[in-house]
Amino acid sequence: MENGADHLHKGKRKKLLRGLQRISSSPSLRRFGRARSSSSPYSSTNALSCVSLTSSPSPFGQPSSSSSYFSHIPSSDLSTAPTSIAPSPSGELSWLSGDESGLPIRKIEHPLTGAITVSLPAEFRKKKTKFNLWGSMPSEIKIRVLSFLSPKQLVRASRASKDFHHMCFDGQLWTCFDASKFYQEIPAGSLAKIIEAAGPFVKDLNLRGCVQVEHYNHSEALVKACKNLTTVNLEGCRNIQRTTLHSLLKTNSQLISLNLTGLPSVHLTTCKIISRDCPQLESFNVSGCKEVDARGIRFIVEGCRKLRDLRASAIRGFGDMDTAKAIFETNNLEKLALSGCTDLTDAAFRMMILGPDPEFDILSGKPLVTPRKLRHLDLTKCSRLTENSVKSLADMVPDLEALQLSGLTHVTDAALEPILASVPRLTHLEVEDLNELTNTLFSQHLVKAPCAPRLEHLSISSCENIGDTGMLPVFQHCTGLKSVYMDNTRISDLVLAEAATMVRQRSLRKPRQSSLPVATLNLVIYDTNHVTWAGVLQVLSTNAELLKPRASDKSNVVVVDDSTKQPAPLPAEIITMKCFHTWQMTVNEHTRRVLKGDLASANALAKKWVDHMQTTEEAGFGGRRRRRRAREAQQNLDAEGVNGIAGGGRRRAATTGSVCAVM
Amino acid sequence: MTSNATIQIQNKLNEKNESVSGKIFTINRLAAMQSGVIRVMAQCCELDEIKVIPLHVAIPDHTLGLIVEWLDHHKPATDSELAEDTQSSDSYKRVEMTEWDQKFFDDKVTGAGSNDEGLLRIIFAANYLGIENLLDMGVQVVANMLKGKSAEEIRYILKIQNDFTPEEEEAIRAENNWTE
Repeated sequence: MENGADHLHKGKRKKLLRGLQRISSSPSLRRFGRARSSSSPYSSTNALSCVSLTSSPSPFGQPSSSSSYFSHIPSSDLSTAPTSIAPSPSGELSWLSGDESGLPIRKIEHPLTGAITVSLPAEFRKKKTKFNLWGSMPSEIKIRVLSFLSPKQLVRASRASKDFHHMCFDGQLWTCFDASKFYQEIPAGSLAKIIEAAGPFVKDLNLRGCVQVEHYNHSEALVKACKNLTTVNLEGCRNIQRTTLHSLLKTNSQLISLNLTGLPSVHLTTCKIISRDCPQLESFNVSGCKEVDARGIRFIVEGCRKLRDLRASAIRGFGDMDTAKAIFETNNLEKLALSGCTDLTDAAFRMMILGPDPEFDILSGKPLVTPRKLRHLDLTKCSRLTENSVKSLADMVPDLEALQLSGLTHVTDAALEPILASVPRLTHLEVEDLNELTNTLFSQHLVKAPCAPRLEHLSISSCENIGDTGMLPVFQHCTGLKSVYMDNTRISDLVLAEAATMVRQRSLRKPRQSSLPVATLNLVIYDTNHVTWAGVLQVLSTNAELLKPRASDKSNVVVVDDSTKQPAPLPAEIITMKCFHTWQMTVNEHTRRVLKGDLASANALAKKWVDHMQTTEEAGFGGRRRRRRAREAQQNLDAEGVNGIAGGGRRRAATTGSVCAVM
Repeated sequence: MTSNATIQIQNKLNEKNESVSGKIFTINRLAAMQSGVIRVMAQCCELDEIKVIPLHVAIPDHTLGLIVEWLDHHKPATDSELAEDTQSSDSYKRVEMTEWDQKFFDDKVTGAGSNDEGLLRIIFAANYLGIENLLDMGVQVVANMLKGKSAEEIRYILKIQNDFTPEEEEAIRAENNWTE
């Protein structure tokens, strides 16, 4: 719209003005409609779709001069809605049909000016009115209404009438056919019927999990009907035949995105066909296709020059140097997922990143190779890789945003240090199960890396050497964190306290979006021996604390003006936690109350939880009275709506006794 | 373009139609630019040339007043927001309607004695003026009447005659059994 108008030159503008004058001098609305759609300079845009098709079912906004929208109204009134001619409480649509219409003109009684009768409440009047909403609409708007219904609703509604049935299966409603929400219910026949009806209109086909696509006739219908697909997701359609798949690929050369995850019928020849017939392919997922090996990937990489997103998890044969070289040479990939490719060797991975015979700068030791375009690299569980090849990522992937190295147990600090220093855009780092990593990597290198303030997701699960020394600086410097997985590490309550402080301070710094709290940091801290309930409680009570700057908060925060005498606002950002399972119920309930803004009841719950934890702790030492108190505390907690906490759920570590100070 | 500039819209006077008085509506320029028709007119003609933008299809004063109110409420903060295209990736459409929008439709459009007609007028006028967002909202209000309804209920709501023979209907019902 904007662009089209920008291109209007002076000559065209005059023409338009002339057109306007001519139109305004003419009393005929029909002529107006036609003149606009055929002569106006903006006829190619779709904002003026009001003067388009009514008889032919073509997509919205397609210019048409066959009939005008305005002239359609009276005829539709006559043909499909005979009742609307009868007197209705507030008049006909005479303002639309205009003064040239042959219909008797009814004056519209304005609801405010023409109030002769006493009006009934709306719900009563609605039933009495004979005005026909649906019948008065041109089919273009009817289709637009239907486009707001889900596929399932459309199919259900289609039984209303013949006309309605026809409209519900109008191709333009089905340009995106996504069966993922009802794939278990829809029988193959209905699926085939919809696809057949929608046919050439379907651009985006998602049959994820539709195992029923197996019968020869049905899959043939699929192939015959769909010729303009750009996005296809056949993930898990494990009954689709190889021949069907191949002919589908051959007839849809416009494919941009293809997901064949887990299809047993995908074969090396499938990859050849794709590389030959789908030159537009940008995104390809063959994860878990058992019949494909790295040679197939090589065909794809060499044939589809536009490929940017390649996911080939659990594919065999990635030790193949030719495939690695092909991946190096295209240098077009932005996403590369090779998780579980256990054949991937150091030599092959080095080839993918540095290419054959890389040169290095003599002084700095940096590689003199064009940087890779990779933004997302997933090497999870490529168990053969060692730091020798992972190290080659340093200085080679300046755009990297996500790096997943979980399960590469041989990788050490030495490999990650130079990488972290050279990836300024990194937001997502997963180094699960890397036992060799030490605190120094985090406290010295990660916090000083250019990506530190951007980092959003960090997973150090099962990195058994990481403790407070490593993580405290991370929470001080990486203030953008949204989720941190720290299960099975040595972190303690101190890290939780630091996280709570960080979230509090960043919420004071930023303007808030809504008056209710929002969860902005998720901590996973189960199976951590040094985390006690006191640490969890510290986070909970910080969550439920009013947003009033404390004396300890730094002076650069935005100070809430106390002079207005308004109560301090609710906290803006809070932390959610996944912790030791017997505490989880309480934590969830507490979080739910805080998110609702009900701090008082959240605090009451926390207090009861404290009582419960303290008494069960004492009960642990014996004594009947103490055990009874423990039971009472448990009942109190249950009364707060927290169910399922096992009576006397034992904590894992000794408490520090700092509870009262926290409360 | 300053953000305070206003433009005026005038209905074509229609002697035969009392609800169209030829009244002039003044509206913030930026707000009015949400309408594709007004945008094109304003972009290719200097405002000096056309002081008042004439609408050639008369819209009742009441409806046009509502539209001006809606446009004012949804006034974009800057020029750049106008070009923003809100294409959803979902297979069916949905428009975010704020509380204000909901109230606007409940109280003013479908309320005030005009019922469905008021809604239809808004839809038609939004369509004519090329106000995509308002059109989508209006259409969504209609779609919401149909959501979760059976074919019989839809017939009743939309006053559609069932023209299937019992056999035909049974065949379709059997086929679409999974949706019931």
